[in-house]
Amino acid sequence: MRTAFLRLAPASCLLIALTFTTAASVANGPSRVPPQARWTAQTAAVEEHIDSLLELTLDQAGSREILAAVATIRSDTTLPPEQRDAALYGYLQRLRDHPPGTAPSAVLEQLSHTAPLAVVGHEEAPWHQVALFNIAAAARGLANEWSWRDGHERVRATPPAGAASLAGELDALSADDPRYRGMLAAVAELPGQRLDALALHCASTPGGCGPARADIELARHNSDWLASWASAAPPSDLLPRLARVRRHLPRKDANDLMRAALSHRDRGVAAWAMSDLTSHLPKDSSLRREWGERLIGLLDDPALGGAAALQLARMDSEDWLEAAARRPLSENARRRLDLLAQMESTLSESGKAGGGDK
Amino acid sequence: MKQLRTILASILLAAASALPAQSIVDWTEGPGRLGLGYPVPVPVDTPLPFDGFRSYAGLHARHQDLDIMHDSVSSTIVGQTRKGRDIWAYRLGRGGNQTFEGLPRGALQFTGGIHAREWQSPEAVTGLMELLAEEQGDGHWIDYVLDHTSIVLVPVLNVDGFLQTQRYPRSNWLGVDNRYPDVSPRDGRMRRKNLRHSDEDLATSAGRVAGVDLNRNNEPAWPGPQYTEVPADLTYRGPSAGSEPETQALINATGLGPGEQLRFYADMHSFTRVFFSVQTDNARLNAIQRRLLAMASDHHVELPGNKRYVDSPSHIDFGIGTTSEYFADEFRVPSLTWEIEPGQMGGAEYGGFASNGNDGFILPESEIRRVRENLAETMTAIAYHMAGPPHLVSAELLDRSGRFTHWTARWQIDAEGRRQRVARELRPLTVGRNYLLRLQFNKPMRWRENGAIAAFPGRPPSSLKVDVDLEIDGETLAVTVGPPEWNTEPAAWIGLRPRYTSDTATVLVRLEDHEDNVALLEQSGGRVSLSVDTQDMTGHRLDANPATPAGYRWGAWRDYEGTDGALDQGGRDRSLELPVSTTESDPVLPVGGGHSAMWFNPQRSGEGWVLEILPDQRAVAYWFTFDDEGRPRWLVGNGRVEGNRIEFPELIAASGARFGADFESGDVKTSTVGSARMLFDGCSEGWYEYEAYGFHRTVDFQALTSIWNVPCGPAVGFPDNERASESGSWYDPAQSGQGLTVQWISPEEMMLVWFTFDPEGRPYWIIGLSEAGSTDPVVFPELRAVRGPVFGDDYDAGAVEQVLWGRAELSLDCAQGQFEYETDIDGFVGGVLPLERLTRLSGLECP
Repeated sequence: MRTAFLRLAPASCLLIALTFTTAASVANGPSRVPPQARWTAQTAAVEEHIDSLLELTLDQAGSREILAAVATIRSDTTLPPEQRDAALYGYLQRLRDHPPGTAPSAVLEQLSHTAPLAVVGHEEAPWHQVALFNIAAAARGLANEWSWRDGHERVRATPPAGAASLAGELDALSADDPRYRGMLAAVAELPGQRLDALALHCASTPGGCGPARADIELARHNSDWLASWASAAPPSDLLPRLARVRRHLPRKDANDLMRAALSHRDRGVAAWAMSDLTSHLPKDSSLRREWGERLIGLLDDPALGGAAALQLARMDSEDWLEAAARRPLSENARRRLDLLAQMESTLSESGKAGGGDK
Repeated sequence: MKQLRTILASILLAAASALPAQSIVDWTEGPGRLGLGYPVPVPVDTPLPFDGFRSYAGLHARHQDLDIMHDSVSSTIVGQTRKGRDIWAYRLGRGGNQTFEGLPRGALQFTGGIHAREWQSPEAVTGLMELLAEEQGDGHWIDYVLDHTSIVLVPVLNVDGFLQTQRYPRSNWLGVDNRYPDVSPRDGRMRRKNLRHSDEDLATSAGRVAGVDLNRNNEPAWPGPQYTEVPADLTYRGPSAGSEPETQALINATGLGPGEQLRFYADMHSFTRVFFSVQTDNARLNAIQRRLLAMASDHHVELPGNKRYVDSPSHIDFGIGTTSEYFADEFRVPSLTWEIEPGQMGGAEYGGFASNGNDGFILPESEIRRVRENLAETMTAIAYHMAGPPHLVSAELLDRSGRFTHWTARWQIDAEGRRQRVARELRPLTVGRNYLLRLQFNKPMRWRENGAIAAFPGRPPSSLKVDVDLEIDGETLAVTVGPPEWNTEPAAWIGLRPRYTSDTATVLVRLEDHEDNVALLEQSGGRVSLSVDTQDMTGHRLDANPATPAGYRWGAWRDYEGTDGALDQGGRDRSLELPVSTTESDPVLPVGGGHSAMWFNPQRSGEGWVLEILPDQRAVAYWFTFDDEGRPRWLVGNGRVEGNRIEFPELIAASGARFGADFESGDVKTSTVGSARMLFDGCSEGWYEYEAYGFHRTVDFQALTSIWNVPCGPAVGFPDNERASESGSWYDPAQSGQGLTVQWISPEEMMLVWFTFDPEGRPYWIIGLSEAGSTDPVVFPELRAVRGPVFGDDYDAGAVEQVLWGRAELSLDCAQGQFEYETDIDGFVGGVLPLERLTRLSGLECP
């Protein structure tokens, strides 16, 4: 157990990451401690506090009782401030190994507003005080993680008969809710029969399950539905799903969907799809040349010309040189073409077209 | 003490024994050692912004494409990275290093991608570039920023490191960090430093922890804290200050400003949502910086997401080697390390797990569009603020209808870089009467939400106030002032000075007919000070004395005068005076047909205007003048008559067609070269204000002629107007592009000006007075061409050279005519032009 704590505790010491400005709520203000306190705070006394808090929690004590124990630790002046913070932080990290809801939400809520007792200088600005152990972030993060896991389990464990209520819940949650994210992550793992049931019920909910419906249809490989949805979906809903298309759909269906996205009214979506299609170019040289010619034709497009130029830079020049020589180009198109050699040097190794497909 | 050391050693030993093996660990969406709680972002090779992160290739393609598509963007390679890759910088701004007034243009620099893993940073800098380039032409604050500043952007300084993070968007090493081996991921996605002594392969052991922290490699605070001397440390400072080629490139980029004109520097980092600003010993600079960042913070929190940034300043003496310290010290400008969101909660702020403190470096893809767009707006607000304070450009007093000008004043830059007041008075402001006062400022002064004036986000409603008073020797007169109305479109005026939406306020003003006022006015000699107090969108009050243009130098505003002792904050402008009266003045005469005439300034004899007042409150004016080499030049404007004014939004120059048989209308090239307005005081006096060919001048003029049968003022009727109606403009439709304007100035004499081109296609004008009494045809025995003086301030009437060009006969009826001419001048040939009427003057009906 001690080893586990030592492994977790330094996470709180990342000064650059765990910023916590001095909180007025801390009586007399937090104590400034040296950075080494991250090591010296890991004592047997701290371990004991963690164990006792965890035991209390696992015994299903109420939030009032747990918070009283937390308050006792916070006010235990026999321990230096950094050790008191370390105890609460270690407790939270240890809870991650337990099922969602192990600790009452009121406990996490209060801890997520807990100011540090021990602070150090920010990595980027030593005068700026940050928490040595960021209890507040750990508590909020744990609450989020439990929500995520709860949502994930909710989808995974709901039988087909519960699809209606599941659809209703997907319909109601917001996209940045951790529970919702957990639910979406589980959707991809569902067997086909349950996906079908869920899709059926989504179709009859007022909001149609929102963008989650696209995740369901992706998992169902329902290309027709996706093509129809994608044509008008807002970019913020569409792009995260497009990014997963290749994992779910056969190449042809994925390509069709991306080609449809090329016509999306949002040019950012169109450029994104152009990039994806270039990444997944087939081996067939005639098809590659056809794509190269299409990109050459787009060089004049005020909005998409730059995107076309970048995709050309990702391709072998033999796939488009002939088309470029054949086609009369405007001044802007010519200038964009001139950039290709320069752009090539900006690509990482993974940036070349058709990586692995060629 | 020894015992303490032993305990400490044993604790450290215990920690060391607990160290995990070195391993590559991936960030994951779900729970795990590096569980994020949201999808792990993967960069995409696409240039257009989206809800995600662009690869370096995508960003670079975007930067270069904006350069191609927009004249206001230019690009430069400012150096190479450790691995020999080009480092690019971009300058945004219209024009050179000076403003349209010839004053130094303020420069602002934003640097991105110093720390490789902080992907928010290049996106934010690119977002600013996109906002400024793609929203230009808004007629408002974007145009103002481009007109008045140079924005220097280095979107990605640490190109090598950035590529390394994008090469491995999910993976990094754990167990290799020298300080926090178990929880501080290094290299791959979490690389921070450059690639000094590093390879680009995550799997190899070479250079996992090597590299230099480019934000510790700078003068004057280098070497900084002792722990930065460890090469393996995340914050290794490098072997010497400026040792890294990337550091040198950053300094090179500043030259695009240029550096001596720099007014602001920000180095964009993540995360913490804080401004780490640098204080110096210059208290004025510190105060300017504090106010600026308070404005930025107050603004940003009002944007979607409601994220507040806090300013956490520190004195440069406690520096650690950052670029912001370098810029604060070297250029004395507001300077900061700008830590982009998330804040103290890291990834938990967006529903993430916060299972590793580094998750704050990985902003969810769903957030980056908002972050990018919001930051671009706040950065633009900073540029708008640092471009300079507002000042009064002009003021105009109009009658209540707004049609008649009674008084004008404006500020005009001189050769010494000071502004001179140019005022004209027609009538005094009379007590007890309502007037409109039009105040024009040098920048867009007000924000609009859905078209309606609103306080700039983050500014209080009180910032919208426009306080106008009339004062005599510090005593404020009793004045009623109405609410301001701001222009909804930029003024239709073409010239050096750009015009913007919301740069002009019009207020109703009435000097009360009050005994105290009257008593004060009787002592004042009939003149009062116009007192104006307001502030621009971001809180700058007026430069109280526009005569000395405000600028920025060595950590403070220069010549930014105030009125209440506060430095660098401006105040109340009392720089203009206007005449007042307690008794009614004569009414101002409106422009009418009788103003059709030739107008000139006796001190500028040789050039002048032919003005034709047309029906329906329209007018045409021909300005016959000279170019910079003393050759003939003519300009034409179509105007709109309003009260005692005529506005000519466009002065058009023509050239290209060749005189004579080779004349081709298709060769005529026209260009809009400026704008003008004419104001008249009665029938024979007035002035014109023009902006063209680099000049903005006000010139008095008077009527040289008057047109037969078109009286000025109330019409009294002239029965014999049959021939008089021939006055106007005529042209040959087959030779469109040239034409004649003729005016019967008496029953016996006609004045003619022929606006044409010389054999080389340059503009050319010829003038003539008819032989007395010749009427059909009208004979012009001497047509003269004129040259000599040069356009603008150096005009010398004594340089006028007249050349006898030839003779002509003109036959006209109501609608048609013929112009036959002869010449002995080389290159010109005689000929005949069949004519059709082009204009008909107001008040002259053709029978």
